Amino acid sequence: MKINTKYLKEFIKFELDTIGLKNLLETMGFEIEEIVNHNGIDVIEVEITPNRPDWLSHYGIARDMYAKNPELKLIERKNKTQLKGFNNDFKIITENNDDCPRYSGCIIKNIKVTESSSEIKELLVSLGLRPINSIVDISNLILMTYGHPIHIFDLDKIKGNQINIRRANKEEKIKLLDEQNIELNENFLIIADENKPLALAGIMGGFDSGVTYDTKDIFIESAVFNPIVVRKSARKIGLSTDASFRFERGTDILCTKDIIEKTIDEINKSVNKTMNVDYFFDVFEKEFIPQKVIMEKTFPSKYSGIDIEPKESENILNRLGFETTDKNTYWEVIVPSYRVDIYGKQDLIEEIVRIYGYDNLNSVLPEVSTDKIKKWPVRELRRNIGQFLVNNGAYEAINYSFHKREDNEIFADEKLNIEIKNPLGLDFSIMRNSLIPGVLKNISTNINQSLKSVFLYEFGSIFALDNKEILQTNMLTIAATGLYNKNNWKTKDNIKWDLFIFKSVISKLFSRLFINVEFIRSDINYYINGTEFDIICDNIKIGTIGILEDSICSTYKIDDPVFIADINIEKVKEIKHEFKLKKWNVFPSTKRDFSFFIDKDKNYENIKMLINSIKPEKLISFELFDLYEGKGNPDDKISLSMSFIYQDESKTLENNEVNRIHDSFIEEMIGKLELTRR
Amino acid sequence: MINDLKNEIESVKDLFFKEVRKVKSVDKFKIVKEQFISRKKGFLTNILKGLKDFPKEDKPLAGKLVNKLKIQVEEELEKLEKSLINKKEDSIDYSLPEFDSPLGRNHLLSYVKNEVEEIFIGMGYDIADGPEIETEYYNFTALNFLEHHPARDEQDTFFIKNFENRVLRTHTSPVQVRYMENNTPPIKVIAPGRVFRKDEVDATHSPVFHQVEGLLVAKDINFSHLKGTLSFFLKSFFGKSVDVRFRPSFFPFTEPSAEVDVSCFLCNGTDSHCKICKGTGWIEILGSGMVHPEVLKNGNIDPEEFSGFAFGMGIERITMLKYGIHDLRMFYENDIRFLNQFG
Ligand SMILES: [Zn+2]
Repeated sequence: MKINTKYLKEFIKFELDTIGLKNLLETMGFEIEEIVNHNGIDVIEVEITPNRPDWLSHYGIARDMYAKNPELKLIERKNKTQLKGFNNDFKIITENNDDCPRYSGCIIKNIKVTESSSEIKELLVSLGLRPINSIVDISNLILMTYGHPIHIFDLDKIKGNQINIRRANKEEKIKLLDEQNIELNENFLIIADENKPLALAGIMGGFDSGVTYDTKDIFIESAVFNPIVVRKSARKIGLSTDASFRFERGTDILCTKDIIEKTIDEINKSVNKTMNVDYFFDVFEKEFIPQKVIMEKTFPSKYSGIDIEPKESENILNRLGFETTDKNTYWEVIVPSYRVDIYGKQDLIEEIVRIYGYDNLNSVLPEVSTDKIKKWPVRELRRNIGQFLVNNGAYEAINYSFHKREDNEIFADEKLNIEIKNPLGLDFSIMRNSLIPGVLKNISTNINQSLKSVFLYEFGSIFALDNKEILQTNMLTIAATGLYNKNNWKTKDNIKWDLFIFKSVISKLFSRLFINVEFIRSDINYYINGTEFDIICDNIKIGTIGILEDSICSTYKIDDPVFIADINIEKVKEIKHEFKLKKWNVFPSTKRDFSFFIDKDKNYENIKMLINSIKPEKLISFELFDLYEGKGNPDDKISLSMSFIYQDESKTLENNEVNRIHDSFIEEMIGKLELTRR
Repeated sequence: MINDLKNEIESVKDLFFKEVRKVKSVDKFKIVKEQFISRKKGFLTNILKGLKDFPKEDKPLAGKLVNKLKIQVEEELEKLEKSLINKKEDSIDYSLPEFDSPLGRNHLLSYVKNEVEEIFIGMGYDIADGPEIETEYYNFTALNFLEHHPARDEQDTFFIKNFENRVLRTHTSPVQVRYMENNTPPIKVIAPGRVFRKDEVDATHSPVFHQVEGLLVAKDINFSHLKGTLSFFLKSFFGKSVDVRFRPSFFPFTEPSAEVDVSCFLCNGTDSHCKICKGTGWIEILGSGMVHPEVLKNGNIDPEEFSGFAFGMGIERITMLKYGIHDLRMFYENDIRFLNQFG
């Protein structure tokens, strides 16, 4: 909405300069967009919240300025024209009162359509409107002045001496003033003559019935249409007009006759004589019951926290056009018909405080305490994980939740995709089902910046279809590529990330969280075969770890191997660790080493699993401390050296007891894994 | 006479060992040596000189005592000299540079989210979250957005295919109703989270961003409590000296509603070309208001018994203002040159 500051002065007397006016409007609740100077006159463009259609006109703004500051004098224009309904052979027929609760119309004949005065043209241009001809311009002037949309038809184009306000039929079409052709149906409310649509009610007039320089007789419409019907139709055809904008938000049902009188005054002014009104009729069948609100007199102070005298509150409401009836402890408040946003007493408080001044609000900290026990396990988890990873060199990434189809394809069948109905584009069309593509893009971004190594993590939600429902899962993805440690003057070699280093970091991360995990071989198609592991805690899979397939890396333009750990935070948060002091063993432990050859195709996991299944008594831990491959070994064998620690909780172990346990355990290992002693 | 000597010997010994412990260099060593056993004026030389005044019968004992001290001092000095010389032989240049040990950073948005959370935790607030894909009911209807009211257009919404009435939440406000459904007043909660609007990506728009919602519901809560709470928060976050201003506004789920500004912490309104406030002296920060009675009802709370306030702010927005970031896209590019500056 554009406010011409000079025109505004025709409705309210004020001495403020433009900045002063802007400040006043801001305290009233207007959002100032910009101020431009149009041929020496400041025009203020304001954004008006959807609850205040009564502000969508110069008079409406003047009326509210008066309420805000009664020292500014509101200038009311008395209508010269005073209409009384009279019938002739012309008819207005409303099909349904819900669609059109009020319709006022009048006919003026023998009018000469000209160009508007330069004054009106200038005003309209300053408000962003294009002057058309004297009659169309008057309808726009009325709109900008009083906020109520009217439409003026060329009477000659209305056949059958009648106006029908009805739903359209499927076969009907209309060419609008903007020359767009619309196929109609029963969802559209139209203004029609005896056989054809003339206008889309509340949105735009028809091209064929519009007023031109050839027009002689006119029909003026001033009506109220159902906001929902107007909104649905306008959206259907993707059109928002000054008229539909106002009808959607709600208009003043009591003003339609007054508006026609004002229109005729303007016409008379423009032709410099009093035109004869040939017909006026007002279809207003359903009685309008104004909104009534009950408000205790103590409520304004109680709800705002400011001491406002009841008299002051009442004065403010009265200045705003509300009628108050004093009922001793409360008021009965009648809401003016142009305030379509007021329903309850809280709405009245906003009005009272707004006029009293938001600047007068007190600043008080509420003394409210709750007995809610505050524990946020995921927050704590994120903090601990974040700290650990950051201290180990990782950067946190945050990516959009959107993927393109190809990103999701890597991880799951597209039948499980959650798709966006109205995406911004193909790249943003699907909700991500993994955090991996995001961090891969980030790796790629940073490699382009010629960084040798990238170590990232992201916390975020992923989405998938699960049993016909949308499943949102909290995930943590950790990714590393390139160098783990750069060479320096002391350590001469660069150390690149490898899966052992990566596994160690992830394993240490879980240790940090007091979670015991194992990496168990798995089969996951987006990791390189043989590098993929499930991360298991208490037989529950809480994530995966592995080296990403080359083809995936190259899709994201990454050459080096990328190490990924993909962790399900929902599962991790379920794992509880109880902190309670445990006694530690005070008796000395005994170590035994064992070196052996084993077939190359037997992997370490087999050895680990076997030891865990044999569970020799008193064995408390074991460790691989050497591995040798190649020269000196029998063919297809590798040499491993392991140490085993034995300890008893209640005594010092005798050497021969350890030997007995260890020897029989080694015998069993040799037998089951076909080892040879070295 | 003999006792005086004993005392003197003890105090010279104490002083000597005190001084010796401080010796870290050959230069200092030379000074200490000079101080104690110089032929001209060392402490020991002085004591020895004094012996000549002793009565004859005391001389042997006095001489013995002094000699003992002399031997102790000389041995200690010899030991010290050796260790100093050895040290010099295998000394290392410890000014050689330390090694780059990799250090990462938390994302700035996480850091700020945490900053905000901690201020409210300090005030006794709970933290809650809700789903990112919401029902239209929680995202709009329960928040008093009427079905065909233009207020719904203000938030360009993403819809989910094949699901009737599912949207990507356009704000964190749905958590208000969800939390009220599961808790009874008094309620104090904030809800940080990810939200979505159908905006093309540019320097000031992003289809994905983050908000923090706040809600307090109890008996006798009024509009001034909202101002007090937000003033406290904004001063904690932006600095004690900022002023806070309320302006009338509109949100379907609050009544009355207020837009909240802070005074410009860059120019304080003195620079008419200020990048942040554009010369107005004020910066728009967040939206807030008293919880609309319909919203309380939707959360199963009786608006005649309880009242409350709510507020919501964009984490990106307050981060950009506080940390001087001018392009929203930086948050989502995850360029390490950006990431390593914060968090
Ligand atoms: Zn400034």
